[in-house]
Amino acid sequence: MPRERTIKGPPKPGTITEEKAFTVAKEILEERYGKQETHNKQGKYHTAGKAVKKSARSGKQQTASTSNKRGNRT
Amino acid sequence: MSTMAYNDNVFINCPFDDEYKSLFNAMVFAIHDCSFVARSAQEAEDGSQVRIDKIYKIIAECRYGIHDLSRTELDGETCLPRFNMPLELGVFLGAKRYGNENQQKKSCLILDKELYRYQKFISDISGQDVKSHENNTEEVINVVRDWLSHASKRTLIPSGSSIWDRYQEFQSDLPRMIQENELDLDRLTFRDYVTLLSSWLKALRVSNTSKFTSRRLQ
Repeated sequence: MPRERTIKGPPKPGTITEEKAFTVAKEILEERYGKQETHNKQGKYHTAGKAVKKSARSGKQQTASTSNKRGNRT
Repeated sequence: MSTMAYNDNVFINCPFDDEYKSLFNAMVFAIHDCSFVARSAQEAEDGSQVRIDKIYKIIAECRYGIHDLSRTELDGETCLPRFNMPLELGVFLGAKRYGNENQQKKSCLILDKELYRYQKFISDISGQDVKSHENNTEEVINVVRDWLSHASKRTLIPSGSSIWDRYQEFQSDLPRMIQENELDLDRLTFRDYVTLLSSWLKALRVSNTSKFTSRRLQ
């Protein structure tokens, strides 16, 4: 039996979407606290809090905590 | 419903009048700031469903319940007491007593405006731990926070004072958020209020991670 399709229409008047509410809240808070830094001095993108590097073998991204089996920082 | 969602859900059983709104809004904020999810009979929009059935469904989906008996008093016109809150408390206690293993894990916070007042109209629950919020917004945040921390045994639940600081900040941002989301302050639904506050808390974590983290560890 074919699955029933769900047709998503525009949001009902008087309701809000999470995306829009988040964008508005972020704008207000950034005006107060400034933008969260997401680029380093070289202009390269990095994730907040953890340094990300690429594994030489697999090419996959690793964080410091997963980059070697002994758990030493690299 | 997944067990994870059940363990995060907090049913709020309270009056829905304008006088109570400031306590209710503060309570909902505190619940979300402690990383739980507020549930209320106000969220149900299905007009075809009988109201008590909606309440049964929501109670079944919530491990935690806050039951505020502070407005159990005589109605000015009818001179009869408002009994919806004690009734829903009874449903919650019944689910805990007779429900399945998950339901038996239920935990509730019973609130009143004065300690021991409840003994005069619902003495059967004597022996339960009833807390007083003294009709004070800051106090209701502290009481809800302390109970959630104790009942869930979760760590890193922020302090009452840091939740209160954030709540005041959110309150000052709320009019602009309402305006920019094309909503009406006087007709703000429970769902919209929850969307606004949870989006604001999420944005605060992103925009101001270090400040947020240090506050959470207080």
